Amino acid sequence: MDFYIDYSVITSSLGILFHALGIDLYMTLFSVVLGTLIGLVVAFALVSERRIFRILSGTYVAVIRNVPLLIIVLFIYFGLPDAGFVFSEIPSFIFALTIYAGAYVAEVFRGGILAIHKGVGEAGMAIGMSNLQIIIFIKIPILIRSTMPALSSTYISIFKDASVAAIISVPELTFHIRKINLETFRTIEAWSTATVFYVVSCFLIAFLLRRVERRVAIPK
Amino acid sequence: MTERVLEISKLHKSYGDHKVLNGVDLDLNGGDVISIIGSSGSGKTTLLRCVNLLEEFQEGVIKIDGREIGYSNSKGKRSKVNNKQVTKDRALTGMVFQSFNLFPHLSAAENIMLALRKVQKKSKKESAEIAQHWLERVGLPDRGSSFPGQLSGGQQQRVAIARAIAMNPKLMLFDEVTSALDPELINEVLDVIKSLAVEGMTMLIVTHEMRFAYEVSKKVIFMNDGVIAEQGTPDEIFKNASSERLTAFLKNTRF
Ligand SMILES: Nc1ncnc2c1ncn2[C@@H]1O[C@H](COP(=O)(O)OP(=O)(O)OP(=O)(O)O)[C@@H](O)[C@H]1O
Ligand SMILES: [Mg+2]
Repeated sequence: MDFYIDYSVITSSLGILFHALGIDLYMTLFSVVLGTLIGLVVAFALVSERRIFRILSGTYVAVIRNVPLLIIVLFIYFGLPDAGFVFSEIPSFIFALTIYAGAYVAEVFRGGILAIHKGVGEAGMAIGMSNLQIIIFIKIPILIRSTMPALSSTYISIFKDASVAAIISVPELTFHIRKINLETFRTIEAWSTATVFYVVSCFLIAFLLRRVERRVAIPK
Repeated sequence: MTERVLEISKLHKSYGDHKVLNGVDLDLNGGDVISIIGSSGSGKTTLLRCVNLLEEFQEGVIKIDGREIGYSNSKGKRSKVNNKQVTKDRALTGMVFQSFNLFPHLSAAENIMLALRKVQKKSKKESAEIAQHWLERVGLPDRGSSFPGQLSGGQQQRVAIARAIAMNPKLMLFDEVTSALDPELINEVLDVIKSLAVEGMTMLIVTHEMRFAYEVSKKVIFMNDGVIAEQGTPDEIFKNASSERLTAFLKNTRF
Protein backbone atom coordinates (compact mmCIF):
# COMPACT_ATOMS: atom_id res chain seq x y z
CA MET A 1 0.00 0.00 0.00
CA ASP A 2 1.38 3.35 -1.03
CA PHE A 3 1.64 6.17 1.40
CA TYR A 4 0.35 9.44 0.01
CA ILE A 5 -1.01 12.71 1.24
CA ASP A 6 -4.39 13.98 0.10
CA TYR A 7 -5.86 17.10 1.59
CA SER A 8 -8.96 17.08 -0.59
CA VAL A 9 -11.03 15.66 2.26
CA ILE A 10 -10.02 18.71 4.24
CA THR A 11 -10.48 21.35 1.57
CA SER A 12 -13.94 20.05 0.84
CA SER A 13 -14.94 20.57 4.47
CA LEU A 14 -13.20 23.85 5.15
CA GLY A 15 -16.51 25.66 5.57
CA ILE A 16 -17.60 23.22 8.24
CA LEU A 17 -14.24 23.44 9.98
CA PHE A 18 -14.35 27.22 10.17
CA HIS A 19 -17.86 27.03 11.50
CA ALA A 20 -16.66 24.50 14.06
CA LEU A 21 -13.82 26.81 15.05
CA GLY A 22 -16.44 29.52 15.46
CA ILE A 23 -18.24 27.33 17.99
CA ASP A 24 -14.99 26.95 19.95
CA LEU A 25 -14.47 30.69 19.95
CA TYR A 26 -18.05 31.31 20.92
CA MET A 27 -17.90 28.91 23.87
CA THR A 28 -14.53 30.32 24.91
CA LEU A 29 -15.76 33.88 24.80
CA PHE A 30 -18.74 33.08 27.01
CA SER A 31 -16.68 31.09 29.48
CA VAL A 32 -13.88 33.64 29.63
CA VAL A 33 -16.21 36.57 30.26
CA LEU A 34 -18.31 34.78 32.86
CA GLY A 35 -15.27 33.03 34.32
CA THR A 36 -13.51 36.36 34.74
CA LEU A 37 -16.45 37.81 36.64
CA ILE A 38 -16.59 34.73 38.85
CA GLY A 39 -12.82 34.80 39.26
CA LEU A 40 -12.92 38.40 40.35
CA VAL A 41 -15.50 37.79 43.07
CA VAL A 42 -13.82 34.56 44.19
CA ALA A 43 -10.39 36.22 44.33
CA PHE A 44 -11.63 38.88 46.72
CA ALA A 45 -13.30 36.14 48.76
CA LEU A 46 -9.98 34.26 48.86
CA VAL A 47 -8.26 37.21 50.54
CA SER A 48 -11.28 38.30 52.58
CA GLU A 49 -11.03 38.89 56.30
CA ARG A 50 -14.15 36.77 56.73
CA ARG A 51 -13.26 33.15 57.34
CA ILE A 52 -16.42 31.79 55.81
CA PHE A 53 -15.68 33.54 52.50
CA ARG A 54 -12.17 32.17 52.49
CA ILE A 55 -13.34 28.64 53.18
CA LEU A 56 -16.05 28.64 50.50
CA SER A 57 -13.88 30.21 47.82
CA GLY A 58 -10.85 28.14 48.78
CA THR A 59 -12.86 24.93 48.47
CA TYR A 60 -14.17 25.89 45.06
CA VAL A 61 -10.73 26.69 43.71
CA ALA A 62 -9.11 23.62 45.24
CA VAL A 63 -11.74 21.23 43.93
CA ILE A 64 -11.90 22.63 40.41
CA ARG A 65 -8.16 22.90 39.99
CA ASN A 66 -7.61 19.35 41.13
CA VAL A 67 -10.18 17.70 38.89
CA PRO A 68 -9.57 17.16 35.17
CA LEU A 69 -11.75 19.34 32.96
CA LEU A 70 -13.02 16.19 31.27
CA ILE A 71 -14.50 14.99 34.54
CA ILE A 72 -16.17 18.33 35.20
CA VAL A 73 -17.65 18.31 31.71
CA LEU A 74 -18.98 14.76 32.01
CA PHE A 75 -20.23 15.38 35.53
CA ILE A 76 -22.25 18.40 34.44
CA TYR A 77 -23.43 16.94 31.16
CA PHE A 78 -24.63 13.66 32.61
CA GLY A 79 -25.14 14.65 36.23
CA LEU A 80 -27.29 17.75 35.95
CA PRO A 81 -30.07 16.08 33.95
CA ASP A 82 -30.28 13.44 36.68
CA ALA A 83 -30.78 16.27 39.13
CA GLY A 84 -33.55 17.66 36.96
CA PHE A 85 -31.66 20.35 35.03
CA VAL A 86 -31.61 19.59 31.35
CA PHE A 87 -29.25 21.54 29.10
CA SER A 88 -28.24 20.87 25.53
CA GLU A 89 -24.56 20.17 24.80
CA ILE A 90 -23.28 23.67 24.19
CA PRO A 91 -24.81 25.41 27.22
CA SER A 92 -23.81 22.47 29.37
CA PHE A 93 -20.22 22.72 28.17
CA ILE A 94 -20.13 26.50 28.56
CA PHE A 95 -21.31 26.00 32.11
CA ALA A 96 -18.51 23.51 32.81
CA LEU A 97 -15.83 25.61 31.12
CA THR A 98 -16.99 28.73 32.98
CA ILE A 99 -16.69 27.04 36.34
CA TYR A 100 -13.30 25.77 35.32
CA ALA A 101 -12.11 29.16 34.04
CA GLY A 102 -13.40 30.89 37.19
CA ALA A 103 -11.07 28.91 39.42
CA TYR A 104 -7.98 29.59 37.32
CA VAL A 105 -8.79 33.26 36.85
CA ALA A 106 -9.42 33.57 40.60
CA GLU A 107 -5.91 32.34 41.30
CA VAL A 108 -4.43 34.85 38.87
CA PHE A 109 -6.41 37.66 40.46
CA ARG A 110 -5.54 36.53 43.97
CA GLY A 111 -1.87 36.95 43.18
CA GLY A 112 -2.62 40.35 41.71
CA ILE A 113 -4.54 41.49 44.79
CA LEU A 114 -1.71 40.47 47.09
CA ALA A 115 0.70 42.45 44.91
CA ILE A 116 -1.25 45.70 45.24
CA HIS A 117 0.55 47.94 47.69
CA LYS A 118 -1.39 48.05 50.96
CA GLY A 119 -0.99 51.82 51.10
CA VAL A 120 -3.05 52.30 47.94
CA GLY A 121 -6.16 50.96 49.67
CA GLU A 122 -5.38 52.97 52.79
CA ALA A 123 -5.05 56.12 50.71
CA GLY A 124 -8.54 55.42 49.41
CA MET A 125 -9.79 54.96 52.96
CA ALA A 126 -8.10 58.15 54.07
CA ILE A 127 -10.00 60.20 51.50
CA GLY A 128 -13.28 58.77 52.67
CA MET A 129 -13.94 55.97 50.21
CA SER A 130 -15.87 52.91 51.35
CA ASN A 131 -14.43 49.42 51.05
CA LEU A 132 -16.68 48.68 48.11
CA GLN A 133 -15.68 51.88 46.34
CA ILE A 134 -12.03 51.04 46.90
CA ILE A 135 -12.53 47.61 45.36
CA ILE A 136 -14.48 48.91 42.39
CA PHE A 137 -12.61 52.09 41.54
CA ILE A 138 -9.10 51.30 42.72
CA LYS A 139 -8.33 47.65 43.23
CA ILE A 140 -10.13 46.08 40.28
CA PRO A 141 -8.76 48.55 37.72
CA ILE A 142 -5.23 48.07 39.02
CA LEU A 143 -5.76 44.32 39.14
CA ILE A 144 -6.97 43.96 35.58
CA ARG A 145 -4.08 45.99 34.28
CA SER A 146 -1.40 44.26 36.29
CA THR A 147 -2.64 40.71 35.65
CA MET A 148 -3.38 41.12 31.96
CA PRO A 149 -0.29 39.18 30.83
CA ALA A 150 -1.12 36.24 33.09
CA LEU A 151 -4.80 36.45 32.18
CA SER A 152 -3.91 36.26 28.49
CA SER A 153 -2.22 32.93 28.84
CA THR A 154 -5.07 31.62 30.97
CA TYR A 155 -7.54 32.67 28.29
CA ILE A 156 -5.54 30.93 25.58
CA SER A 157 -5.48 27.74 27.63
CA ILE A 158 -9.23 27.99 28.04
CA PHE A 159 -9.60 28.28 24.27
CA LYS A 160 -7.60 25.11 23.75
CA ASP A 161 -9.60 23.39 26.48
CA ALA A 162 -12.77 24.07 24.52
CA SER A 163 -11.72 21.06 22.45
CA VAL A 164 -12.82 18.85 25.34
CA ALA A 165 -16.37 19.59 24.21
CA ALA A 166 -15.83 16.99 21.52
CA ILE A 167 -16.40 14.31 24.13
CA ILE A 168 -20.05 15.30 24.51
CA SER A 169 -20.47 15.70 20.75
CA VAL A 170 -20.46 19.46 20.53
CA PRO A 171 -19.79 19.98 16.81
CA GLU A 172 -16.67 22.03 17.38
CA LEU A 173 -13.29 21.76 15.68
CA THR A 174 -11.77 18.73 17.38
CA PHE A 175 -15.06 16.88 17.04
CA HIS A 176 -15.15 17.49 13.28
CA ILE A 177 -11.50 16.67 12.75
CA ARG A 178 -12.00 13.40 14.54
CA LYS A 179 -15.06 12.73 12.44
CA ILE A 180 -13.12 13.33 9.22
CA ASN A 181 -10.39 11.07 10.49
CA LEU A 182 -12.81 8.25 11.26
CA GLU A 183 -14.76 8.58 8.04
CA THR A 184 -11.88 8.98 5.59
CA PHE A 185 -8.89 7.46 7.41
CA ARG A 186 -6.89 10.57 6.36
CA THR A 187 -5.34 10.66 9.81
CA ILE A 188 -2.30 12.82 9.13
CA GLU A 189 -4.23 15.29 7.03
CA ALA A 190 -6.94 15.60 9.67
CA TRP A 191 -4.75 16.16 12.69
CA SER A 192 -2.20 18.33 10.95
CA THR A 193 -5.11 20.54 9.92
CA ALA A 194 -6.26 20.69 13.53
CA THR A 195 -2.75 21.66 14.56
CA VAL A 196 -2.62 24.50 12.06
CA PHE A 197 -6.09 25.73 13.06
CA TYR A 198 -5.19 25.79 16.73
CA VAL A 199 -1.74 27.30 16.32
CA VAL A 200 -2.96 30.08 14.06
CA SER A 201 -5.98 30.81 16.26
CA CYS A 202 -3.92 30.94 19.43
CA PHE A 203 -1.42 33.16 17.72
CA LEU A 204 -4.13 35.58 16.63
CA ILE A 205 -5.77 35.58 20.06
CA ALA A 206 -2.41 36.23 21.68
CA PHE A 207 -1.81 39.08 19.26
CA LEU A 208 -5.16 40.67 20.10
CA LEU A 209 -4.66 40.23 23.83
CA ARG A 210 -1.22 41.75 23.61
CA ARG A 211 -2.75 44.85 22.06
CA VAL A 212 -5.31 45.03 24.85
CA GLU A 213 -2.51 44.53 27.33
CA ARG A 214 -0.59 47.44 25.90
CA ARG A 215 -3.62 49.66 25.82
CA VAL A 216 -4.56 49.09 29.47
CA ALA A 217 -1.01 49.01 30.82
CA ILE A 218 -0.31 51.50 33.60
CA PRO A 219 1.80 54.31 32.08
CA LYS A 220 5.35 54.50 33.29
CA MET B 1 -10.14 80.65 64.24
CA THR B 2 -9.43 79.43 67.69
CA GLU B 3 -12.05 76.77 68.07
CA ARG B 4 -10.84 73.35 69.09
CA VAL B 5 -10.48 71.15 66.01
CA LEU B 6 -8.86 68.05 67.46
CA GLU B 7 -9.04 66.76 70.98
CA ILE B 8 -7.27 63.54 71.92
CA SER B 9 -7.61 62.31 75.46
CA LYS B 10 -6.10 59.34 77.24
CA LEU B 11 -5.44 57.43 74.04
CA HIS B 12 -4.24 53.87 74.56
CA LYS B 13 -3.40 51.51 71.76
CA SER B 14 -1.74 48.13 71.66
CA TYR B 15 -1.04 45.51 69.07
CA GLY B 16 -1.79 42.32 70.96
CA ASP B 17 0.30 42.51 74.13
CA HIS B 18 2.52 45.21 72.74
CA LYS B 19 1.50 48.61 74.14
CA VAL B 20 2.24 51.29 71.59
CA LEU B 21 0.36 54.31 72.89
CA ASN B 22 0.18 54.77 76.62
CA GLY B 23 -2.24 57.57 77.28
CA VAL B 24 -1.74 60.39 74.81
CA ASP B 25 -3.46 63.75 75.34
CA LEU B 26 -3.28 66.34 72.62
CA ASP B 27 -5.34 69.31 71.46
CA LEU B 28 -5.24 71.32 68.27
CA ASN B 29 -7.06 74.57 67.66
CA GLY B 30 -8.03 75.82 64.24
CA GLY B 31 -4.93 76.94 62.34
CA ASP B 32 -2.52 75.22 64.70
CA VAL B 33 0.49 73.47 63.29
CA ILE B 34 1.95 70.90 65.64
CA SER B 35 4.96 68.77 64.83
CA ILE B 36 5.67 65.43 66.40
CA ILE B 37 9.24 64.24 66.72
CA GLY B 38 10.64 61.19 68.44
CA SER B 39 12.71 58.12 67.85
CA SER B 40 11.69 55.20 65.69
CA GLY B 41 9.03 53.04 67.26
CA SER B 42 7.84 55.68 69.69
CA GLY B 43 4.32 55.54 68.25
CA LYS B 44 4.13 58.62 66.02
CA THR B 45 2.70 56.85 63.00
CA THR B 46 0.32 54.91 65.16
CA LEU B 47 -1.00 58.12 66.70
CA LEU B 48 -1.76 59.62 63.30
CA ARG B 49 -3.32 56.39 62.08
CA CYS B 50 -5.63 56.36 65.10
CA VAL B 51 -6.76 59.92 64.33
CA ASN B 52 -7.45 58.85 60.74
CA LEU B 53 -9.25 55.73 62.08
CA LEU B 54 -6.94 53.47 60.12
CA GLU B 55 -6.24 51.74 63.43
CA GLU B 56 -8.60 50.73 66.18
CA PHE B 57 -7.69 51.77 69.70
CA GLN B 58 -8.65 50.23 73.00
CA GLU B 59 -9.05 53.26 75.21
CA GLY B 60 -9.43 56.99 74.94
CA VAL B 61 -11.46 59.49 73.00
CA ILE B 62 -10.68 61.38 69.81
CA LYS B 63 -12.93 64.32 69.04
CA ILE B 64 -13.04 66.42 65.93
CA ASP B 65 -14.92 69.70 66.17
CA GLY B 66 -16.17 68.54 69.52
CA ARG B 67 -17.69 65.26 68.34
CA GLU B 68 -16.24 61.85 69.15
CA ILE B 69 -15.12 59.86 66.10
CA GLY B 70 -14.86 56.13 65.55
CA TYR B 71 -16.51 55.09 68.79
CA SER B 72 -19.61 55.92 70.73
CA ASN B 73 -20.14 55.89 74.45
CA SER B 74 -23.62 55.28 75.68
CA LYS B 75 -24.36 54.45 79.32
CA GLY B 76 -20.68 53.97 79.95
CA LYS B 77 -20.40 51.33 77.27
CA ARG B 78 -17.90 51.94 74.50
CA SER B 79 -18.59 50.54 71.06
CA LYS B 80 -17.31 51.01 67.54
CA VAL B 81 -19.54 53.00 65.25
CA ASN B 82 -20.65 51.29 62.06
CA ASN B 83 -18.48 51.18 58.94
CA LYS B 84 -20.42 53.86 57.19
CA GLN B 85 -19.85 56.27 60.06
CA VAL B 86 -16.17 55.32 60.25
CA THR B 87 -15.86 56.23 56.58
CA LYS B 88 -17.53 59.57 57.24
CA ASP B 89 -15.45 60.32 60.32
CA ARG B 90 -12.30 59.44 58.45
CA ALA B 91 -13.11 61.98 55.76
CA LEU B 92 -12.83 64.74 58.38
CA THR B 93 -9.08 64.32 58.30
CA GLY B 94 -6.72 64.22 55.35
CA MET B 95 -3.69 61.99 55.57
CA VAL B 96 -0.48 62.05 53.57
CA PHE B 97 1.75 59.00 53.76
CA GLN B 98 5.46 58.45 53.60
CA SER B 99 5.05 56.28 50.51
CA PHE B 100 2.79 58.69 48.54
CA ASN B 101 0.27 55.94 47.75
CA LEU B 102 -1.08 57.52 44.61
CA PHE B 103 -3.44 55.40 42.53
CA PRO B 104 -1.06 54.19 39.81
CA HIS B 105 -3.72 53.67 37.14
CA LEU B 106 -5.04 57.23 37.33
CA SER B 107 -3.50 60.47 36.15
CA ALA B 108 -2.54 63.11 38.70
CA ALA B 109 -5.77 65.02 38.09
CA GLU B 110 -7.85 61.83 38.25
CA ASN B 111 -6.18 60.90 41.53
CA ILE B 112 -7.51 64.13 42.99
CA MET B 113 -10.89 63.88 41.29
CA LEU B 114 -11.77 60.32 42.27
CA ALA B 115 -13.03 60.93 45.79
CA LEU B 116 -14.45 64.33 44.89
CA ARG B 117 -16.70 62.50 42.48
CA LYS B 118 -17.39 59.25 44.29
CA VAL B 119 -17.45 60.46 47.88
CA GLN B 120 -18.53 64.07 47.60
CA LYS B 121 -20.62 63.35 44.48
CA LYS B 122 -19.40 66.45 42.72
CA SER B 123 -19.80 66.77 38.96
CA LYS B 124 -16.94 65.86 36.69
CA LYS B 125 -16.52 69.48 35.67
CA GLU B 126 -16.41 70.81 39.21
CA SER B 127 -14.03 68.03 40.31
CA ALA B 128 -11.72 68.81 37.42
CA GLU B 129 -11.68 72.48 38.37
CA ILE B 130 -10.90 71.69 41.98
CA ALA B 131 -8.16 69.28 40.89
CA GLN B 132 -6.62 71.90 38.62
CA HIS B 133 -6.80 74.49 41.39
CA TRP B 134 -4.89 72.26 43.78
CA LEU B 135 -2.41 71.12 41.17
CA GLU B 136 -1.57 74.77 40.61
CA ARG B 137 -1.41 75.31 44.32
CA VAL B 138 1.23 72.58 44.75
CA GLY B 139 3.21 73.88 41.78
CA LEU B 140 2.18 71.31 39.17
CA PRO B 141 -0.22 73.24 36.93
CA ASP B 142 0.61 71.31 33.78
CA ARG B 143 1.12 67.80 35.14
CA GLY B 144 -2.55 66.89 35.54
CA SER B 145 -2.46 64.31 32.79
CA SER B 146 0.76 62.66 33.97
CA PHE B 147 0.54 59.30 35.66
CA PRO B 148 2.25 58.64 38.99
CA GLY B 149 4.88 56.49 37.28
CA GLN B 150 5.81 59.49 35.16
CA LEU B 151 6.34 61.84 38.10
CA SER B 152 9.30 62.26 40.44
CA GLY B 153 8.88 61.35 44.09
CA GLY B 154 8.56 64.97 45.08
CA GLN B 155 5.93 65.58 42.43
CA GLN B 156 4.01 62.47 43.46
CA GLN B 157 4.01 63.57 47.06
CA ARG B 158 2.73 67.01 46.10
CA VAL B 159 -0.10 65.37 44.15
CA ALA B 160 -0.84 63.25 47.22
CA ILE B 161 -1.05 66.41 49.33
CA ALA B 162 -3.36 67.99 46.75
CA ARG B 163 -5.52 64.87 46.71
CA ALA B 164 -5.95 64.91 50.47
CA ILE B 165 -6.54 68.61 50.85
CA ALA B 166 -8.95 68.87 47.90
CA MET B 167 -11.41 66.95 50.06
CA ASN B 168 -11.52 69.97 52.34
CA PRO B 169 -10.64 68.18 55.58
CA LYS B 170 -10.77 69.85 58.99
CA LEU B 171 -7.29 68.68 59.74
CA MET B 172 -4.31 67.44 57.76
CA LEU B 173 -2.07 64.65 59.00
CA PHE B 174 1.42 64.25 57.56
CA ASP B 175 3.46 61.16 58.33
CA GLU B 176 7.13 61.65 57.47
CA VAL B 177 6.14 62.75 54.02
CA THR B 178 9.69 63.48 52.93
CA SER B 179 11.42 60.38 54.29
CA ALA B 180 11.19 58.48 51.03
CA LEU B 181 12.49 61.37 48.95
CA ASP B 182 15.90 62.13 47.55
CA PRO B 183 17.42 65.07 49.44
CA GLU B 184 17.07 67.47 46.53
CA LEU B 185 13.31 66.83 46.36
CA ILE B 186 12.56 67.39 50.03
CA ASN B 187 12.26 71.15 49.97
CA GLU B 188 9.67 71.36 47.22
CA VAL B 189 7.36 69.27 49.40
CA LEU B 190 8.15 71.09 52.64
CA ASP B 191 7.54 74.42 50.91
CA VAL B 192 4.03 73.32 49.96
CA ILE B 193 3.32 72.36 53.56
CA LYS B 194 4.71 75.66 54.81
CA SER B 195 2.47 77.58 52.46
CA LEU B 196 -0.54 75.65 53.76
CA ALA B 197 0.49 76.60 57.28
CA VAL B 198 0.62 80.25 56.31
CA GLU B 199 -2.91 79.95 54.94
CA GLY B 200 -4.15 78.70 58.28
CA MET B 201 -4.54 74.97 57.64
CA THR B 202 -4.71 72.93 60.83
CA MET B 203 -1.97 70.33 60.68
CA LEU B 204 -0.39 67.56 62.69
CA ILE B 205 3.00 66.72 61.24
CA VAL B 206 5.27 63.82 62.05
CA THR B 207 8.73 64.65 60.76
CA HIS B 208 12.42 64.00 61.01
CA GLU B 209 13.19 67.37 59.43
CA MET B 210 14.04 69.32 62.57
CA ARG B 211 14.67 72.68 60.93
CA PHE B 212 11.34 72.44 59.15
CA ALA B 213 9.59 71.53 62.42
CA TYR B 214 11.28 74.48 64.08
CA GLU B 215 10.18 76.90 61.40
CA VAL B 216 6.64 75.77 60.75
CA SER B 217 5.30 74.69 64.12
CA LYS B 218 3.48 76.55 66.80
CA LYS B 219 4.21 73.69 69.14
CA VAL B 220 6.53 70.69 69.01
CA ILE B 221 5.81 67.38 70.68
CA PHE B 222 8.47 64.86 71.59
CA MET B 223 7.14 61.33 71.80
CA ASN B 224 8.89 58.55 73.61
CA ASP B 225 7.66 55.04 74.40
CA GLY B 226 4.09 55.80 73.48
CA VAL B 227 3.67 58.94 75.54
CA ILE B 228 4.21 62.62 74.99
CA ALA B 229 7.45 62.97 76.89
CA GLU B 230 7.84 66.67 76.30
CA GLN B 231 6.11 69.52 74.51
CA GLY B 232 6.59 73.19 74.02
CA THR B 233 7.31 75.96 71.58
CA PRO B 234 9.98 75.19 68.97
CA ASP B 235 12.44 77.30 70.97
CA GLU B 236 11.70 75.43 74.18
CA ILE B 237 12.15 72.07 72.51
CA PHE B 238 15.09 72.73 70.22
CA LYS B 239 16.99 75.43 72.07
CA ASN B 240 16.33 74.67 75.71
CA ALA B 241 15.80 70.94 75.82
CA SER B 242 15.69 70.02 79.47
CA SER B 243 15.17 66.28 79.74
CA GLU B 244 17.97 63.86 79.15
CA ARG B 245 15.96 61.82 76.68
CA LEU B 246 15.17 64.75 74.45
CA THR B 247 18.74 66.01 74.56
CA ALA B 248 19.97 62.57 73.57
CA PHE B 249 17.45 62.35 70.76
CA LEU B 250 18.30 65.77 69.40
CA LYS B 251 21.99 65.02 69.51
CA ASN B 252 21.41 62.24 67.00
CA THR B 253 19.48 64.33 64.52
CA ARG B 254 20.46 66.86 61.96
CA PHE B 255 19.11 70.33 62.39
N1 LIG C 1 0.62 46.61 62.44
C1 LIG C 1 1.41 46.47 63.51
N2 LIG C 1 1.41 45.32 64.22
C2 LIG C 1 2.19 45.17 65.30
N3 LIG C 1 3.00 46.11 65.79
C3 LIG C 1 3.05 47.29 65.15
C4 LIG C 1 2.27 47.53 63.98
N4 LIG C 1 2.53 48.79 63.55
C5 LIG C 1 3.42 49.29 64.41
N5 LIG C 1 3.75 48.41 65.37
C6 LIG C 1 4.68 48.65 66.49
O1 LIG C 1 4.24 49.79 67.18
C7 LIG C 1 5.35 50.53 67.62
C8 LIG C 1 5.18 51.98 67.18
O2 LIG C 1 5.23 52.02 65.77
P1 LIG C 1 5.07 53.37 64.95
O3 LIG C 1 5.07 52.98 63.53
O4 LIG C 1 3.91 54.11 65.46
O5 LIG C 1 6.40 54.14 65.32
P2 LIG C 1 6.98 55.49 64.74
O6 LIG C 1 7.18 56.39 65.89
O7 LIG C 1 6.12 55.98 63.63
O8 LIG C 1 8.37 55.05 64.20
P3 LIG C 1 9.18 55.51 62.89
O9 LIG C 1 9.88 56.78 63.23
O10 LIG C 1 10.13 54.40 62.63
O11 LIG C 1 8.18 55.68 61.78
C9 LIG C 1 6.59 49.87 67.09
O12 LIG C 1 7.16 49.13 68.13
C10 LIG C 1 6.07 48.95 66.01
O13 LIG C 1 6.85 47.81 65.94
MG1 LIG D 1 6.37 56.18 61.54
